[in-house]
Order: sequence, then C-alpha cells, then structure tokens
Amino acid sequence: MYSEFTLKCDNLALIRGERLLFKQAAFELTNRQVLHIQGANGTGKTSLLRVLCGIIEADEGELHWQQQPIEQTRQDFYLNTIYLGHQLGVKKAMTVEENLAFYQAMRPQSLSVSISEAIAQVGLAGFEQQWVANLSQGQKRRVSLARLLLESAPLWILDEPFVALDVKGQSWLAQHFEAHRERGGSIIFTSHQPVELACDVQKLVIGAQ
Amino acid sequence: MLGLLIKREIRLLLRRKAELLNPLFFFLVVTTMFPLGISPEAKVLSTLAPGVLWVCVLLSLLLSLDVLYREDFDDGSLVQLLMSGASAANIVLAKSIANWLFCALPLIVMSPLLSVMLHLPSDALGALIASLLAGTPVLCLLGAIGMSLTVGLRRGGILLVLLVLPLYIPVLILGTMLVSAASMGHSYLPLLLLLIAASVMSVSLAPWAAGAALKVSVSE
Repeated sequence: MYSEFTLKCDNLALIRGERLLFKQAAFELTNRQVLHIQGANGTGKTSLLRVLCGIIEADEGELHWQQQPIEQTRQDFYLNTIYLGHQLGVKKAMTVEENLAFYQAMRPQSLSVSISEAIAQVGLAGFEQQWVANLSQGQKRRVSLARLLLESAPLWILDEPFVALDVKGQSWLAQHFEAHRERGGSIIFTSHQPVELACDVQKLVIGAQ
Repeated sequence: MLGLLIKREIRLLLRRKAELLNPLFFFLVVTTMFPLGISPEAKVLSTLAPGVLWVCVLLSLLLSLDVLYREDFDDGSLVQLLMSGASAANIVLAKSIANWLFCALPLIVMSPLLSVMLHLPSDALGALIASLLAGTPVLCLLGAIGMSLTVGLRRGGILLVLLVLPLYIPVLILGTMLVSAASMGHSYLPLLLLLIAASVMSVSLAPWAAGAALKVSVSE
C-alpha cells in the first residue's frame, strides 16, 4: 500500500518559441486516480508531462506536491514517481537484466517482485541476458515497462505507454494499471489510442484555444 | 548512490572499446608526428617534449568526453538519472571519475613511452607523471562542465572546444612549466602544489556547475 500523496497543478501555461502550447491546465490528483491527458498533435501533452517532472519549467502556474510548492519537494516527488517518456532510458549496451537491476538499485524501496519475474511478466522470458540493442522497438518498450513492476513509486507518469505494444501487451498494461490503482497508486498518461480501463478515468484536454 | 553511478559508467565505457581506444591512438599518432615534422634531433625535441606531451594529453582527453554524455542524452537515460533522486552533481562526478580512470589514466601510463621517443630527460619523467596525475582531474572536470553545457546541441563539438580550451590554458602552462623546470634540474614542488590545488578546487566546485548545466541542457 502506498502512502497518501497529493499533486495539484494550477493554471499551467507553456510557451515554446513564439507559440502558446497550452494555458490554464489544471488538475488535482491523489491516490487511486487515473488521469488521461488528451489533445491533438503539437498541443504540448509531452511538454506538460515534462513540466510535471521538472525537466522544463512552465511559463505560468504552480505545481504543488503534498500541499507544498514542488520546487521545495522535488526530491521527494522524484522518489515517488516513475516517468517513462518517448525516449525510454534503457541502455543499448546493457542487458535487459542489467538495465532493470540498475534502476531498481537506484530506488530506496522496491516491490516484492524479482527481476526475472518482472521480465517474464512483460513477456521477455529468455531475453534476460540479451543486449537491449538486439531487441525490437516493442520489446524495448516492454523493458522500460518492466520497471513499473519492480520499483515502488505511487505515481506513474507515462508518455504514450501503449505505443509499439501489440494487442496482448496493451491489454496486459491496462490490467496492470488496475493493479497499481488497487495498491493505492495513480497514473498520469497520454495516449492517442482509445484505452479500455475498468476504473474511472479523469480527462484533461489541453491546447490553446 | 555514487558507487552505483560509477559502476554504471565504467560498465558502459568498457563495452565501447573503440571509443576508449580512440584517444590513446590519437595521443600516439600525434606525438609521433612531431619528431617527423620538426626534427629528430635530441636537443630540439627535449625542449619541446613537455609542451608536446601536455598538449597531446589535453586534446586526447577532449576527444574522450563525448562518449560519456552524448548517448545518455539521446536515449533519455540522462532524464531518468536526474529523476532517480541522484543529485546532478553526483551524476557528473561519477562520469568524471570514470572518465579519469579509463581515459586519463591510460594516457598517463602511455606517456613515459612517448617521452622516451621525444628525448625527455629521464630525470623529468617523474615530474611528467606527477604533473599529469595532478593536472588531468582538472581537465576531466572542466571538460564535464563544457560537455554538460553543449550536450543538447546538434553540433556542439566546436563550441565545446571554444568553451573549454581557454579554461585548459592555465593548467597547460603550469604542467609544461613543471616538466620543463624538472628537466633543467630545478625544483618543481611549488608548481605541483598549485596543480594539486587546482585539482582539489575543481573536484569540489565543478560537479555543481556541471550539474546545473546538465539540467539546463536536458530542458531544451
């Protein structure tokens, strides 16, 4: 069970170059909630996730983690978050197992799943000692998703997690969203594909009007 | 945390043998050009040797920096590392330590061989190694600042050189003066202490500067 957390996002606006990507983006998130960020191409969905993760700074608006400005609680936020972006952050020159072991070791807490179990669960059994360079795009995506099984973090921030997955993989991930929610975790994700989830999904549509 | 990061860097470096050998070959090839291009005479070469060796080590190290940052930036690992709770300064420090151990140290080990070719007086050999041991950490760490600033740029290579080389100059001057002094039989201890001081200062300050630069680069 994850402990209580709150993430509040107020009136966020982001300008890239000369263009306003989005404004007045606002939501509140606590345990057991799923937030689906929607918007057409180029409306800044990925940028919004990157703002949440503190990678880029918003031009306006505030973020609060545990009721405190996120600038002060950034480290605590990072300990409670897994972010998977378009670039997966898996090293081609390391094996599947080494990649996962490294990220797991960087976390102070991990879930009670062994690395080989996690690899089997994402359908990569037998690939433990393979170089990631030899895997397909979908398999690389699965390696990064295996991190979700290993690392204990209540908030998942996932950028297009269903891309490059086959139908079975997609339904497995949707089921796993549910399992994460039952443990008290929350998910913020973007997806262009319609996603069938058993639970309530909040929607946030962004884009400059 | 730092231990984990260093282990990761070393593992990745050891798997890229070609990139690891490049600076060594560069060092070997460029230093061999000097006797051929200038004069094979022992008298001429021995006065040039300290400068030639130092400049070649410096340029070889500059070549070795890209490997440590570029791929991590491109495949998103840098973002993951920054979000893993490790401080940015630690990430840079781990990279610099791996850089020194696997790029600078092999160059230092190779330098006695090349110093013989350049007729460096054998009394100055100890001074050469001491000066490189004390000076190369500064080069690695200043390089880390430059690399952190330019890793987000498409063709950051030239900019890296423009940024970092001016900062390398004081170290180069101290290093070559030290070896020259030793080859003329003077005491080189004060210069060595200055180099060590520069090293200590850069170990304690550069990771913070480079870490801040890394965050800026990732945000683009």
